[in-house]
Amino acid sequence: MKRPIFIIIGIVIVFILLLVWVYMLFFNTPQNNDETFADLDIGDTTDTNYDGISIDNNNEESVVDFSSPERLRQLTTKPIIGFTEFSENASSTPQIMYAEAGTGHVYSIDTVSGEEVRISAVTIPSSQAAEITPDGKFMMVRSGEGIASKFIIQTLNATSGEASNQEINESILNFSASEENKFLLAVKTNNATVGKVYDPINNSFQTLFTIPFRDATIDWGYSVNDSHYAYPKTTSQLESFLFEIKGNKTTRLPIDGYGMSAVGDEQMVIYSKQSNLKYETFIYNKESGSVNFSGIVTIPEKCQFSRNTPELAICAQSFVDLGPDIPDSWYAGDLSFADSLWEVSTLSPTKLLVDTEEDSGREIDIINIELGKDDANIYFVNKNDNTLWLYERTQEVTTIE
Amino acid sequence: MRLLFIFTLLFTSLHINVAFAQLSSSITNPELAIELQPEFPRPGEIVTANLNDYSGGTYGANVNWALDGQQIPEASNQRSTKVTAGAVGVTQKIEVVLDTPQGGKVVLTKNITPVYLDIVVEPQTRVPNFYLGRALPSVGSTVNATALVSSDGFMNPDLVYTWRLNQKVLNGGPIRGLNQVSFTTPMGTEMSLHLQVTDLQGNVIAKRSVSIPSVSPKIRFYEINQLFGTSHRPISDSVALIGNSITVQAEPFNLDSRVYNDPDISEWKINGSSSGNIGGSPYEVTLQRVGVSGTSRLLFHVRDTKQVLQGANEGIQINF
Repeated sequence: MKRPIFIIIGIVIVFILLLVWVYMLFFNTPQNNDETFADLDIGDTTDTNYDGISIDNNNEESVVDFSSPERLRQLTTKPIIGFTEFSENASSTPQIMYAEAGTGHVYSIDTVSGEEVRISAVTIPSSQAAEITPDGKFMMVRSGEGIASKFIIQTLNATSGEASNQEINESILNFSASEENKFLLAVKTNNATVGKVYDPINNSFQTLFTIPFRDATIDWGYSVNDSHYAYPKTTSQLESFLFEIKGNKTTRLPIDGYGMSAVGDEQMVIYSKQSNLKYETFIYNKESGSVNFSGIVTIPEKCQFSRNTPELAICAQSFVDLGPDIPDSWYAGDLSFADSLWEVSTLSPTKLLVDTEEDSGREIDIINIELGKDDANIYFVNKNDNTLWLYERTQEVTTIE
Repeated sequence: MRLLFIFTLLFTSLHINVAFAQLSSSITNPELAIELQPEFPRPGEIVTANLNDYSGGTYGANVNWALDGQQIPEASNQRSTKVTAGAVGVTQKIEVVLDTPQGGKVVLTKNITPVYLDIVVEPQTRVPNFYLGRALPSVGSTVNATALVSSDGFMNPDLVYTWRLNQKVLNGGPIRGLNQVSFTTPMGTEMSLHLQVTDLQGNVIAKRSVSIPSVSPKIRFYEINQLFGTSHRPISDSVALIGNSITVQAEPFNLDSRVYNDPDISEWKINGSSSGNIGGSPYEVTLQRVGVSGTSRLLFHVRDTKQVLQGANEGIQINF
């Protein structure tokens, strides 16, 4: 073709584009809001045709730098609502599975390669809290808040990326995944709190216990048959009392007080309470009945016991003076901490692991601590932005020759 | 008339004599007993046992204390001793033996059976769902209280409960098996709830008193993200409107749940101008950026018109 023909074609195209632009600018005024705003499909919609669940097949991957020499690392930049470390078998590499806030999408991170893969792209709108079973096959999600809450069991399939949902119609206060790959639920009734076990395979419930008050906090054990702890929700202005539930037996422990909250395992209980306008933390040895100062002052919700080493707990603590309105002010969000991680043990003195603010330069208000396989990794969530973090408690040293 | 006077005099003097006789009896025969402090201890609690002998009838006596038959040497010739209450539901016998100089012997005993009597106070007031703590009562709100008598597990229902709020006995008196009670929070910043638990024979098993605070409802503001839900950190004094709009939730902590669910007044104001409620939650407002940058004062007011102390009024600054 000759050059003039190319030029003429180009001018025609430019002219057509100009006409389209002029038309769009002056004659194509949006008639309604649907034309003005894009539908981002993020839930809370008033569209009655929207079924609340959608599948997005955009299977993007990212990589977390696990080869970094830093022992403290941020694993996600997006807010999460639940996570677990799981291995397909004893010899396989541990994976971290987490559920994304808002969407309920599930991702896994390989702890060696750092590769992140999306496992479930099924959206559960307004996902607020999640628990994943240790085998990584089931996830329970709370969608929405208050009386509008829905509780959904999602069956995960890491291989196919498919997932299916099932709703549970119970007034659930809180829930936890157990070692048996079941879910432990606290259900509110008219004048009591009922502890139940839900088996997602058989879709069956079993009642574990009933405690005669409604505003209850439950500290679930790792397995169904472990000790679970219950107490009236705490406040610095009213007294709380600790009950241990094991099997069919509920026992009142000699632990009570204003602002009292607690976590425990089979051997000990870590609890804090207001005492003479001072907030203090204690360790109760269940066998001997002895009570000792823990060595640190912390809110027990910032502690977690090891599955493998019963006398070991990991706690987060901030070097600030905790006032008389603790823990209420922390619950309400008025107060936030920049925490350090500590090892608390009945066999050895309390030991500082890491000052997270000094190491990361970030203020990390630590919650939801979990210990990984062999207690090597400590995972936790920053309450300030709900991001997932890792601290390598025992770091593998690679020798380069 | 004279006869009437003599009759009245005789009748009055008879009554005076009876009164004097009673007074004299109580002075000459005081109770010689062991008094425990606290009267109904919890398991593991330190209990002080005092020997009460106001008559001096045991003057110069040797005093020997024993717990479950084991002598307490350090309490020898002491008028009080301290013991640690045992395990829950296990009875301990504390004994004091008085050997008088005249060769007499007086033995006094007292049993200690520690139980836990806990009162769980559950105010029916509002706190947000993400808040892990318990709500507090405010004037006019309902409070539910549950008594938990724990020995080995929770105790059987054949107990009689007597509840008293400040000076007022609730439910008209003792009621068998009624371990739960509801009452309305009275005026003032504090109230006292007293409970006595007895068995069917009238023996007191435990007593407990708790002081319950009454607070004013307080509003905190939280930003709502359409995707992630309500932020768990309140807006302190001001918030920056970064995008085109912001949704703010007002959370009236400790407001009576009935008022929260059906408030007489729930009003948002921007720079003093009321914002009409366009449906949806009265506790949420969405603000949209219009015009040039600046600041606005956002106020929220919620109140019950019948119980005016059931309400709160608070504001934040919006920078846009």
